[in-house]
Amino acid sequence: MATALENANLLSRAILTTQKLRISVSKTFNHMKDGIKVSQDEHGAPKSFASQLQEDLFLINESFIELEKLTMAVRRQREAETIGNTGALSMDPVTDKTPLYPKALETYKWATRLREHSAHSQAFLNNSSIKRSSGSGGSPAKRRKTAPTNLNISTQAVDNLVMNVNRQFHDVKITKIQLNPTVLQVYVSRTLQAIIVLRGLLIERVLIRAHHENTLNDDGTLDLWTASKYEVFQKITEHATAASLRYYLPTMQDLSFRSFMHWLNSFSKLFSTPCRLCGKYIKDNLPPTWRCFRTVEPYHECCRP
Amino acid sequence: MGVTCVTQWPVTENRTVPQAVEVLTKRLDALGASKSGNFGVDCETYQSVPTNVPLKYIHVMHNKEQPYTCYAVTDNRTCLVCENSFEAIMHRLNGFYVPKKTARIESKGTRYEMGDFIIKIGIVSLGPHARGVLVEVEYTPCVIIQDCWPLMVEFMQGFMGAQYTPNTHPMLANKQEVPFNAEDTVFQYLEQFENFVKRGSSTATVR
Repeated sequence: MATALENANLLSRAILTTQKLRISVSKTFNHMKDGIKVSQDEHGAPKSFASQLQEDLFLINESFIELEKLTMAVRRQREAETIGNTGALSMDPVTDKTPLYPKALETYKWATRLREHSAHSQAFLNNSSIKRSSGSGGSPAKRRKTAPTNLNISTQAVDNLVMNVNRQFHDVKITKIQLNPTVLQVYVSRTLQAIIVLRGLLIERVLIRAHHENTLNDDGTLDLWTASKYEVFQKITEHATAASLRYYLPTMQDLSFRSFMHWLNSFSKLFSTPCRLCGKYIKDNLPPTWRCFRTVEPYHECCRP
Repeated sequence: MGVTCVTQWPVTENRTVPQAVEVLTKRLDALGASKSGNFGVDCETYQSVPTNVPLKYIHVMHNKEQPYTCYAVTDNRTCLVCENSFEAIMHRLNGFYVPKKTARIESKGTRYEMGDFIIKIGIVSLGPHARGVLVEVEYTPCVIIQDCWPLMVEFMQGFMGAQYTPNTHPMLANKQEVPFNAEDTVFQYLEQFENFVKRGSSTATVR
């Protein structure tokens, strides 16, 4: 420990000396660059540039020698003393061949830094987390408990729900077109079709297309990505995605799905119901594509309350 | 394809046909419609040879939207949808059906797009003479006319004038709620063309 303290003292002095050295070097260069003012020394003789330079160089030399002395004085410290039992590793006499201990120290430092970094980022992310559902409002411990259960929904439960919704809404025809992950195809009257990807019972993605548009790609695979070619259905896809987030209830997934279907069902008379506010069918070449989330009344996008 | 409505745009006394078209195109430009090429629908009528009584007609029609298809429509509105080479068969049937003279009527013009709507403004010409203007409006996302008829009427009033009311669509009265298809558009054109031909012959007799 004594050597460590001593070394620390020496190092701090060495730092000071380095600073001094730097100052004198930069002063010398400044004098060389700018020249010196003609001043008089104590005997009245004018100070020449050469003598000034000599003086500066002397100062540099002095601090340099001091620094050298200090570096010589710093004794090589045995790193083993800092970290407990791992020190035994450094006892290996052939450290050059097996640099185990320095590597271990490096790793230790790296791990410490990583931990610090993640702690900082966690604190930062916690401050700016997105709260868009009632579920995430609670304590973090509670959230952690409920989250994994969300996905453990049996296919039977999905089938039951689909059957119930089919029975509840006459204009809606739901068919399951893919098992894992569950993809539902929903025909709403003769107006539109929706492709719904489920995760558990939660809606993961909604895509609205015209009733007569294709669901499959040319090679027979399911097309989950191509947007509808019609502006009206592109717009409704946007609104449907918003609605799926609006009705997102991780604690009551059943209700969440039902409310979404209720909202979607309101599009069965998309082309034949005028806007509730302006009483017109068309605005910006689109029918009323927006539905109130509570009353499911039709509005144009720019007419919504 | 979606639901279409073909209707006539009246050419008033003090205007020529191109001027009437210009009025409409100016309005569409102002509403922000974009041009998307040309279109054309033509109809050629074949008449059964006089030895066959009563006279029968076959209308062979083409729509540029379906360039490889040919529609052969009989008097009782039976439609045969076939390839373009059907005309060669009609020539072979020379002994039974002959082309009616001066009976080629067509509607040609510019195609506009406005959101999901497609508007086609065509000048109808019977032989070398321009006879009038036909406007076709198509609403592409919907295939059931009963669902979107009020919406289409509102749209058409939007650029043809609020006082304008299109005739009740024949499909609204006649058919059940079945999806719209290309033949229905062709039928509408044929009906309008027949009106022009009738009117043309009546004015000719008056003169």
